Amino acid sequence: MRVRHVVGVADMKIARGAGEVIVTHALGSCLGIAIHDPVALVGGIFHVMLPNAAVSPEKAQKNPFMFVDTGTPLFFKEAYAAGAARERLKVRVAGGASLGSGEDFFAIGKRNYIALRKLLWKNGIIIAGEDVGGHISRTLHLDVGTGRTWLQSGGREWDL
Amino acid sequence: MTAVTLPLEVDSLAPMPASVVRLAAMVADPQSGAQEAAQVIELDQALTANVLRWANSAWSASQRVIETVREAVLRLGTARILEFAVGHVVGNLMRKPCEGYGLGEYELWRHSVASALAVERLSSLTTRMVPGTAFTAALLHDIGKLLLNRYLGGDVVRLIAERMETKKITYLEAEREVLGTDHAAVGGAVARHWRFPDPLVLAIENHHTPDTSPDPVLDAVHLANAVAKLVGVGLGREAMNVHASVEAASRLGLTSAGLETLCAAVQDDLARTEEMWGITANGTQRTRGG
Repeated sequence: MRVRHVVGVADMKIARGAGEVIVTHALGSCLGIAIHDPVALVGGIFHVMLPNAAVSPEKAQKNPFMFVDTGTPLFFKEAYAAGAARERLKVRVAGGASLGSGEDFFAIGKRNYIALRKLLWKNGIIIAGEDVGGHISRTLHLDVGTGRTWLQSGGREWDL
Repeated sequence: MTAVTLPLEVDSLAPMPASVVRLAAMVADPQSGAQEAAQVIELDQALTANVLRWANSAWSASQRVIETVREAVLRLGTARILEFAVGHVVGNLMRKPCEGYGLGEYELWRHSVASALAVERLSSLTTRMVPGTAFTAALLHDIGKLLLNRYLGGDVVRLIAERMETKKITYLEAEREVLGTDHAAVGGAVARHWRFPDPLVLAIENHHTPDTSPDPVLDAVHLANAVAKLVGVGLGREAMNVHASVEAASRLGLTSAGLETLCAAVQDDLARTEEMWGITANGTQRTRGG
């Protein structure tokens, strides 16, 4: 039986085993981070909205998954706790679209992406695939059994 | 296909009750008092019943039972009553799917509510005061989508998408090229037809183009729409392809960090507000994003 988990904004889900599918909708400037361990069959999606908790520490305390800097380490920790191994993890990133002409003031999507890259770089984690930027809204799927990670937008579908 | 001129059936939406329009005029007029607002509400039985219900709801958190409209106006304030009244009237319309815009059930309504919440939070993050009318204008800013949705069949939708892609223009510009009008202009016409006060009409009409005739209500609504997009509510086919004015932000005194704080606050407020407006958890699950 296939189990489909929907991840809301500022939230994440880790699942284990064949038949588990995780999806997150409407990634605009938010980032969707999909991780997968093909041996342990552990995978997860994290849908994060803002780069740094410094803009609102009280919200970060309530929900660390609202921010890249506070949510990402917890997301990876959950995956390790479920049996994933860091060296086997495939990390894929989608979203980070920009509003309007992409002026820096509104470029939260870009700031999200930069914050994530910096964090992963510091920890020696490589991004295996990404589809970021532009003005589109994306839906991100992960099949935990196979590791297939794919995107949908404007009636199109493609693998990541 | 070249631009077509649409018959603007502005009167085909549900009518806005006269009492609500008069309240809107009062909120826009600083001279107007609670007494006058109560008189207007008392003449409308349906609104009276709703106002008493809102005043006694958990949201109002009143310690005692409020039995008269006058007490209710003092408790909630005219501006808040107008927000509820407009929300009540357009809420029913906006809950329906708007397929031409790629918006499912409740999505346009959630986008409008998120924008209104952004306006409310904006006041604490800007150096300039945000007028009370901005909340109502934010709730109504996409009302034109309800009307234009009727003209957005498969071919028109494809054509707008093609124009955006090939000409690298915003959704609004593509819409105007294909249809000869756009949802902001149509929304302005609807608000004018409802005889809403000028600042409200202009904020709806120009919500994508605030720099041509800057005004604090308009700037607030423009930014509120951007914030709703940034928290991923009501993206639809327009997605993130909308103009966002840095000038509007600087006119109100909103900083870049303030914008992010605003997004965090709105995302958090939205879940609680959805409960108050009676949006099901199911609806939120399907459409929330960022």
